[in-house]
Amino acid sequence: MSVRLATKAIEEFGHHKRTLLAPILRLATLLALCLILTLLSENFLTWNNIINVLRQSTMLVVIGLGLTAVVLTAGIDLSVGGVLALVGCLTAQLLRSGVPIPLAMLIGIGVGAILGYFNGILVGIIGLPPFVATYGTKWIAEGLALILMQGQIIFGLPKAFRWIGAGYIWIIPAPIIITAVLALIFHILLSKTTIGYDIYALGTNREAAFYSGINVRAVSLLVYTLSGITAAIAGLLMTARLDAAEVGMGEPFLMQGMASVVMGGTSLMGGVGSIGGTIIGALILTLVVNGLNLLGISSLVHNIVTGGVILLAVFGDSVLRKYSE
Amino acid sequence: MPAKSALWKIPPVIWIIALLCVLYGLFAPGFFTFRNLQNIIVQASPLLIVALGMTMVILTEGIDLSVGLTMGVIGVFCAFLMKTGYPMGLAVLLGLSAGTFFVFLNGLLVSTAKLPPFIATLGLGSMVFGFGLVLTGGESVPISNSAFRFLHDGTIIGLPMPIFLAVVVFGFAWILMYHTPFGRNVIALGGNPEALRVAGVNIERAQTLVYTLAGFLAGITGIIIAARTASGYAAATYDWEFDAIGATIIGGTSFEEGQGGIGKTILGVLLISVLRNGLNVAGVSNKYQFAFIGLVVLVAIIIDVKFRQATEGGAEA
Repeated sequence: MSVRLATKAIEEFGHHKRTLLAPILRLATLLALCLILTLLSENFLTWNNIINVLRQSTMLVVIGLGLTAVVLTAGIDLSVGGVLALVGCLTAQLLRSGVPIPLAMLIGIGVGAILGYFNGILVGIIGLPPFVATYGTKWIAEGLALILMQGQIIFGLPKAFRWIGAGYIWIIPAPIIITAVLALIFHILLSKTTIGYDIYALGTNREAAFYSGINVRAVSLLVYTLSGITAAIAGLLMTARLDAAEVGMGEPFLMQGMASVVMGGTSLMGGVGSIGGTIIGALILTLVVNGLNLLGISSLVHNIVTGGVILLAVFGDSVLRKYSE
Repeated sequence: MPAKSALWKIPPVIWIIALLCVLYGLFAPGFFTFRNLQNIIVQASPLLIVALGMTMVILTEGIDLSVGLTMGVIGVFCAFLMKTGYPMGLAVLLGLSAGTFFVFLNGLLVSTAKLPPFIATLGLGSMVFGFGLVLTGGESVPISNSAFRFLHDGTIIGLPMPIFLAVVVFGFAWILMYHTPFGRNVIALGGNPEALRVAGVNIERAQTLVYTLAGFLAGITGIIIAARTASGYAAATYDWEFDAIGATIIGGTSFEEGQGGIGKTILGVLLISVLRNGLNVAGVSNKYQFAFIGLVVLVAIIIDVKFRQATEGGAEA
């Protein structure tokens, strides 16, 4: 019985992997966007602008890494924006009060991990619906950030800290290298290890995963903790790049992070998706925003675009799913 | 032990409200004044209206994460229309219709396009919010119309307007839920949609209607809030869906299997309003309330889920 269910899960898994249409469509979208932007502006295809686009996309990619792992298990993490803001604010406060930089960063990442673990407990052990649990955590994190900041904005952070967001290694910005390393780690974790296999299996068929001996609770705890950690790292990158922290800094990232993940082909139903897809998704979204800026369209429009992109991507996913069945 | 079993039947929410009242009575002088108690009810009224819609949506095993933004944007629509010279009645009507239309799209996304409710409402909510921002350049639009402000500040037969509106809306919602086929469908949608389909009910239509109605109620709430603050601001109420969801769950409506009802939501609304009001009277700053109320709501949800698991005889895999 359990063997049969497990085989079925593996078959389903393989079947989804074979659908090649979606990734091709995504790459085509990315290339088409590049082409349009090149035609629109002569500044687009310059080293500076390309580096700029990549740097802008780093935060989305980093958030997207953990979020992808969560969504692969058919979960969701709506707390990423809140965690990002709390960690940014906390780290800035610590740095201002003279805590050594590595320690402050470690505490920030630790807080992200704890909030993620908390999400994991709520979802994996208590059994709350993921969007409810993580939505609650979002409010708690934002509330803590409010208490921490008391309405102020912190700026003027140590130069060594700012390096992670604004510095360079040779001619490549540090955040791009940090993001690339993280992405590589997540890619290996998801596609080359048994943990990754368990994550996919959990999202493909929870019951089959359970009966084939996968520790469902441990996997849930792990993915939400990872998402907390990546949101925290994104918070550090953001604070370092802006050289400032304030309570509202996480606001856009929930929608944009989610848009990157779903546009990257990771299905909200779980079991389908990849880190590569998420990176392409984040790049597409960044290019869209970049293009709007090049066209001189107000940043107030971004909400409309991000919302529309999410709806289209999720809708497209459900259509493709029906088609491939 | 008859006495004990009678006490046992009182919902725990009432115990908690009573406990809060005692605590606040002891530690927050000024809590038990007529003025403050009336204040609590006035503050609870808009929350009740929006929570009624949320309860209906949650009864269908759905969720609407866009209500806070929808509320704010409908306030913006009304303020904007009045500023451009529309008479108040028309402005309110148009504002409400525009908002309701957006939410109708929300319903379509969930019912016919089969998107998960939370993503559909988040996505559309973000778009609606964007429209609200673009319309006003992200600024708050002042409202000087005194007739409009009457919607919050005025009284009818001795009742403050928000209370009056909440009572009327609740009456309508009650009739709709418990004396019409629509209400029966809503309740059955969460319990057993397949049975409904077999019985020949148009599930898609019922689902679309629920979201539309919830959005309409959110719109009314948004207008009351705009009248209270005498301005339309898209982000003014962005955290309201959390209170609405919290009130629904604390009241005893569950995310699973369509259990609960709009009557229970009154208790949840009261609890949140008493909690908030008491913290205000006791001088706890807004900043602290945010995290605290988030925690209370989460705990209530956890208790709800755990309780259900226990009564169903053991957790599942």
